[in-house]
Amino acid sequence: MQREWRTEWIKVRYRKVGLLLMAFLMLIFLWVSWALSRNTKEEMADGYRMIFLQLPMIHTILAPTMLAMLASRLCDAEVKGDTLKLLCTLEHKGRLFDMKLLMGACYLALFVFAEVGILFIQGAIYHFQRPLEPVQILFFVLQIYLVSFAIFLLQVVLSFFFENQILPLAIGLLGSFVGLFSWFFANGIGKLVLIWAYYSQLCFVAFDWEKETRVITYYNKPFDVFSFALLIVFLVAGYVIGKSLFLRKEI
Amino acid sequence: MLLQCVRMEQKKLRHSYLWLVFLVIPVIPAVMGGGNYLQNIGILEAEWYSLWTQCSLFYSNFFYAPLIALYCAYIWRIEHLNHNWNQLMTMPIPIKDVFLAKLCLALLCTIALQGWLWVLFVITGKVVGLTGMPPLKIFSWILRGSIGGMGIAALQLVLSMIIRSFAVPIALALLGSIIGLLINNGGLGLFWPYALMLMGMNANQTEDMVGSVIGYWGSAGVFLLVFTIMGIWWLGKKDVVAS
Repeated sequence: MQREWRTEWIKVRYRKVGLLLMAFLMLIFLWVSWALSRNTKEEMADGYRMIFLQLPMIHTILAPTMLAMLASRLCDAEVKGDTLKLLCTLEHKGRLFDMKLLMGACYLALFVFAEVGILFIQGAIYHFQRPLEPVQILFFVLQIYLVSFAIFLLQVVLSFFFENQILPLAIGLLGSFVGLFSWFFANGIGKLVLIWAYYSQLCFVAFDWEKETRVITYYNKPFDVFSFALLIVFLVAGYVIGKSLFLRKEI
Repeated sequence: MLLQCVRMEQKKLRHSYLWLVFLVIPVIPAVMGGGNYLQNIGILEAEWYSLWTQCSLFYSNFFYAPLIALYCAYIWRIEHLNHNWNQLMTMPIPIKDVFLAKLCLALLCTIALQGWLWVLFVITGKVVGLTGMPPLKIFSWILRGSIGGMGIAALQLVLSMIIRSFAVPIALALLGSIIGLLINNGGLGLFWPYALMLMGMNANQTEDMVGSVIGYWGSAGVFLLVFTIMGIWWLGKKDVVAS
């Protein structure tokens, strides 16, 4: 197990995966800073909730393509290098799949951890009056991490399955589109079926906009436990199906 | 020779799924934009112009660049695989024709994509119950957007040629688009290639986002020229890495 784990890291050496994720992180930081700088001091009082609404929306646009890129990059050694046949005679085929997921999970964990850091940095810069509730951080991490991981799982399966990487990347783009528009549609069965819509589905902050005064008021809404449970079901089912597809794949 | 190279490049793209991707993905902003228009019909009163904002905003802001990046990455992917670089560079073809042929395809793809967006826009308008045809002004925005998009296509072609990964240039295109949004808000859109599509398409604005027409055309032309020269120079000077 340890040997396979080390091998995976050797495969991505010099591939600058972390650098690209850093670029996305920097962009998120800039985007949030830009969005916050457009608000008045009064509006900034509730800055944390503002960020808790902005970050998932930014994720909806960026993450599907970023995760498609990450999955494609992690699977490059096997797909582009055409080394699956060789690797699967040296190590357990299922374990290779697990290692890819584990690596993605590690990158994602660091990414989400850095995003929580962005939250604190913005708080320190702008001195939001309304304090940060610890439970909000928990909801935020669950929302961003699990949805992103589910998308990553889908992308890994696609990247392994299609030698031509157009399709996985195109599905990543499609996911960004679908996810983005899901923010504007009412809750319904469609939103529960589309994995990219879960960023909006699990959002725990909402807002009211008064047309006359143009004032936005943010408020907490209950964390959608049903959607969360459904996401876990999708994750487990996705893992079982994805792994069995990979195991059956002819190499 | 250039025409022959274009035909050769077209042959390389045969039997790829590219056409499917370009057919399906623009349908989403059209459908969703139409849905959004119907949901907010009380606020959106400018008919075709309002529908245009709904359909073009996300496409020109976030998705055109990654889409064309996908195309460019695929064009070069063929050369990056199976030692094809060696074969390509030893063929009796001028280097500039190799790059220009690929660029021609990318530019044609941009025009076709914009044309398809126009068709979808008209269909969406009819479905949501708008009368007549869209104003010609919107059509001119589509054309203007295509000109802006050409600079992006040339840049992506250069990136996909240099970066051997299929996915990385696409991720860079998405990053560039979003930075373009920020730069455009700062009023410096003419200096960033990825912002030109957004400006040209006049997405989400009733007033024209292009303040200076000469500036816009000049900027689009300069970017296209610079990236084309850069691509040809790189191809001629740098040694290929084939694996």
